[in-house]
Amino acid sequence: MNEGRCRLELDAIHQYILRMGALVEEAIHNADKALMTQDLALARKVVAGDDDIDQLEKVIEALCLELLALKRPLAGDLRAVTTALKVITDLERMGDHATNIAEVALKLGEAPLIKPLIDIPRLSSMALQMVHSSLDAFVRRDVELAEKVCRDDLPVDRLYFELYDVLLGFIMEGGDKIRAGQALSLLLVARFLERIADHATNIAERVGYLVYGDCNRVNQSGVKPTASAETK
Amino acid sequence: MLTPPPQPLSLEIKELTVRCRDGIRVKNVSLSVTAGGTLALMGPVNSGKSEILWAANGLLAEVPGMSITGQVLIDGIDNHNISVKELRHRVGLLIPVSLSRTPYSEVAVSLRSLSSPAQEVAAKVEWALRLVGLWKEVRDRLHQPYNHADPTLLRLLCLARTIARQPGLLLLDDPTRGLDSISRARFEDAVVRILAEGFATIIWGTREPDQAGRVAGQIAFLYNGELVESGSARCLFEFPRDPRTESFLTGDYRRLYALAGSEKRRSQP
Repeated sequence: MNEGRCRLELDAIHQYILRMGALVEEAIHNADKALMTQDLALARKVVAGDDDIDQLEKVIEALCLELLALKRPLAGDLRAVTTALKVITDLERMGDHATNIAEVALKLGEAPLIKPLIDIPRLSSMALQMVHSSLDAFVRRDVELAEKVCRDDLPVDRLYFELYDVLLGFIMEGGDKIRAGQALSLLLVARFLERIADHATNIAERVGYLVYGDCNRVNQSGVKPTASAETK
Repeated sequence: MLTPPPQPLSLEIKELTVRCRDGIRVKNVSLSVTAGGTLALMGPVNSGKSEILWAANGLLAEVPGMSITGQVLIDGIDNHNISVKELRHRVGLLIPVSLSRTPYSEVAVSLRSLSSPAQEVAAKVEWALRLVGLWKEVRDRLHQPYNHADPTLLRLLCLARTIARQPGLLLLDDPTRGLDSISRARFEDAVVRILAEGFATIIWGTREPDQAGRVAGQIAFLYNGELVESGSARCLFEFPRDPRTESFLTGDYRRLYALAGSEKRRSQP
């Protein structure tokens, strides 16, 4: 960060983004924990907490627009403020997905699960690690770490596809509506986690823009977020 | 012979160095603008913008105490090989100083040496006044003394005077200095219309990055007489390569001074 005319505002925006990132990480972690332990109170806490994340997004957006309108940032400052605007959108979506997972936990309630959850916690911890690293890379402008985040998206996609096959098997067995419903809900959870990892990849790609002025410099191998499991 | 109007002229400056008694004003600057293009020379005060513009139309050589090396090619021809008369005709430098009392004569004064028939002069004056957006305002009092204290009117009349002969190269040396933002917009709008007419290549010296971005496709950033960096306005404003450009654009003057200091030390033997 330079010592130019936008320094104070960009510092403030940065701090807010870190706070928003911390809330999102916490929401993902808690949503996953609520699902695993069938802790409905924790799930409700995640759902209620989404308002704070949305509120922070609005505050940061307002700060960015104010900076654009009043100080007309250029060069590194311009890249910092436009990147901030993109990053908060990704963070807000991640928060929504955490809420979606918590809602699934509430829907499943305390009914016994069709299978012990092994792959979903794995997927969750991989996605969470990517979110953490992408924010770290954003703060430190660490291109190498950002590139690692992009590479880490591949195993997440693979695991999601594996889960897709397993859960599809449950659904296709037929006969038991509750089992099929649970399998479908867990498939949605996997999908939400896979999307969270995609948003982390987006943030990592923006680090390339911050540092090199070019989004395509990071993730040159072209690992793109997967559109849907059906297209595999 | 330079290409006659209404063709725009290209400009190429090769290794231009300008020295005066107090030191070096321009250090080995090379840049080029294609015919019909716009280039903003952007830089703070004393960055060498005026010297480059004055060198382009040959005026700098007439300033006592200036030593100039390097080459200025207009339309591919070294400006030393172009007659002073032709240079003044085809290369217009806007000088925001009143030369006459009425709007009509302010513009017509530049057409005097062409010794055209009065009707033709009147047509050219009207064309120039329309192009700078003044015609409606002054047509009813063309031959009455105008208010010289109105800086916007004065500057637009001087612009009309400069373009009346359709110069192929139009040089503007910080032309909106001291104007308010709305007058500045009006002046910039006039220049955009001139550019759209296609008869002139425009070089615009400015201290304001905002203005450089608005008026020019290409920007050259000058600092302490040195060409630091040049490129498309978009690239330069979004991702400058040189830390001095970055510091200038973000207003980080402490870093700019520090970088300029270390540059100076490096260039000294």
